[in-house]
Amino acid sequence: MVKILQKKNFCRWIDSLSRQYALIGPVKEREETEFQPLRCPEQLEMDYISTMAAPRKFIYPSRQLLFRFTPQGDDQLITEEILPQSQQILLAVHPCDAHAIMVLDRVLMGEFTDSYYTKQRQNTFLIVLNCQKVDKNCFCDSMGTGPFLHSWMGQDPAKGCDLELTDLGDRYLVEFLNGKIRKLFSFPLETANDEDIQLKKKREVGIKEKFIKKLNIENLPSSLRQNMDHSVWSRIGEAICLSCTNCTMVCPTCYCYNTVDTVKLDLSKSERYRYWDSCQELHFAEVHGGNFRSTRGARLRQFVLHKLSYWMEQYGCFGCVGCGRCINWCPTGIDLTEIVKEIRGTKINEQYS
Amino acid sequence: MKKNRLAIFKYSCCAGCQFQLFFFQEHVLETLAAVDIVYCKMGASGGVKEGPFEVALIEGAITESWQIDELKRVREVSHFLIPIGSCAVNGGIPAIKDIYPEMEVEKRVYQDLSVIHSVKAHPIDDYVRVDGYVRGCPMGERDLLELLTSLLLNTKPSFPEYCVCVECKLAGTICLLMSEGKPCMGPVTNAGCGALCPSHARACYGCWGPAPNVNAPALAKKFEQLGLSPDDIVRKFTQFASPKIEFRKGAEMYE
Ligand code: SF4
Ligand code: SF4
Ligand code: SF4
Ligand code: SF4
Ligand code: SF4
Repeated sequence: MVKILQKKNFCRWIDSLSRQYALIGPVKEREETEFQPLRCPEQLEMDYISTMAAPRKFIYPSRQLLFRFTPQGDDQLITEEILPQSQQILLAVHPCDAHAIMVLDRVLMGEFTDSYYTKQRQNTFLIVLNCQKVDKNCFCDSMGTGPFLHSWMGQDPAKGCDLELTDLGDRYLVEFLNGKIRKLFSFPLETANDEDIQLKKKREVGIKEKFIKKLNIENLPSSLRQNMDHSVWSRIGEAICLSCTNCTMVCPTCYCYNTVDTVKLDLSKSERYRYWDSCQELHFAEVHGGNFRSTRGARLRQFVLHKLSYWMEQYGCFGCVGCGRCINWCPTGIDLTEIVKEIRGTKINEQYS
Repeated sequence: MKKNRLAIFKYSCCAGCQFQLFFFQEHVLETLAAVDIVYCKMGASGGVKEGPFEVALIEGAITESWQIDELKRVREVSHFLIPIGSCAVNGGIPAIKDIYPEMEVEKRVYQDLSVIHSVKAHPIDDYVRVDGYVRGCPMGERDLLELLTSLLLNTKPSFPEYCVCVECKLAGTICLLMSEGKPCMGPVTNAGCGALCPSHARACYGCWGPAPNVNAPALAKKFEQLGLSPDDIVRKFTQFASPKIEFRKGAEMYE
């Protein structure tokens, strides 16, 4: 069902959302825009380009208490599982991030089910906002995940998302992707006409011309596989990479975690937490005797190849949605698209030569 | 249950780490119930300094020869020996002097050098084998708690051995280095503080010392691009851990 929402009514429309749900959306924070719980709809920064933290953190928190356990007698444990309880609506999620969440769905609700993720995901509505601005490091157009919402590598927005918004200047085109979300709004909307739909198409064509960053994905998984020993890994890994983990921490599809137990000093109670882990860290994948990827170059290669090659074998899609975050937030400006260019033998930017 | 005997030895430092034990907030009583603190100069006079100890905590850097002798003796009589705090782990603040000729440093402070017998500041593991590190300046509460509980459970303590950026990202703090161009030491500094400074909009000073296997030269180059002078860059990498090779590599290019 396709509707029109005048921008002057936007805040009232959001305000009409059922109070049962926590609203989370892009909000100005210091010099950036970040996803945060909303106090009021006026806080929403609908013009934002990208955020540092991906919206995944509201479904898959960076640190999460999983369960408590208490020893009882000699060999018994009483465990209490802490499943997430909140019901939420994620607002103004860009198509790349929406696809990233659907990628996480494949990983954490596919062959193996992560009960914590699943519980939170089932209680989350996704409102997607098609992009109208392109940042210098965005390459969703090359990956196929954006700048407007479409099916991608077997991911159907009608299954993973709930509503699609497109900015048409003085109004939004509102496309309900299922009936469930429609019932949450009580503010009435106008019906869209053909002209509105045509305008959406025109806007999409217009924005697709603005991409500066591009990635050639043809045969990418296999050509990367064939270049495991390419000199780019050791050169960038050793000279430039800090192994600081920022790339994986901001990546919207990274799913690795580590668990820790905390024990009370009187040993009466323990808690198990999990937190995001990163393959850039020396302890990740450590076995007796150390980590097989003991060099920074090998760890950097793991990040790039997991996203652009291994993921395809594992899950049938890329692990990269082209959001550009790993480039934006890498302290030394490491850029996976430049690495790919070097491997493919195409011209690279000076910084990488 | 027989309580573990714990001793704390103090070398060159501000004693803040011992005080951290007394200010161990909610855990101070539990700690006293869990272990026998048999020697702790800042907490009580007297005590048994001969050992044996299940665990000896060492605070401060080594800057005098008597400290080396005592440290070796403590090592022999202790099951676990753990440096606590940046001075013991990395040389810390006392080691700022290490990048200058010793006598020049002494002259800046003292008129009569005949009474001064100190040497360059060294971390504890330069002299004896250690069984782990409780990092921090002062030592971190969480790591101390982890040490004590693993002692009671007879398990291997799990201390964070990754950089501050990890905790900074887990906390969701906007990166000061990338967003505001502040020269943050987070990418090379060992975590454990919970990225305290960035969460208060201050770039990390590096007070916990280097994380394993960090790339200080690459960060130093980044600082240069941000417009830091060579002197400032050297200061960044010698403020809290100048004896540590991981940080020295960052300072070296600009000395
Ligand atoms: S690629 Fe960049 S962000 Fe990732 S670990 Fe290396 S330096 Fe850090
Ligand atoms: S690899 Fe980089 S560009 Fe791709 S999804 Fe992750 S953060 Fe975004
Ligand atoms: S292995 Fe690395 S790149 Fe892949 S999901 Fe885990 S942290 Fe991210
Ligand atoms: S602010 Fe500092 S510690 Fe935090 S992510 Fe940025 S560089 Fe790392
Ligand atoms: S952020 Fe850096 S300087 Fe601040 S407490 Fe942590 S390690 Fe020390």
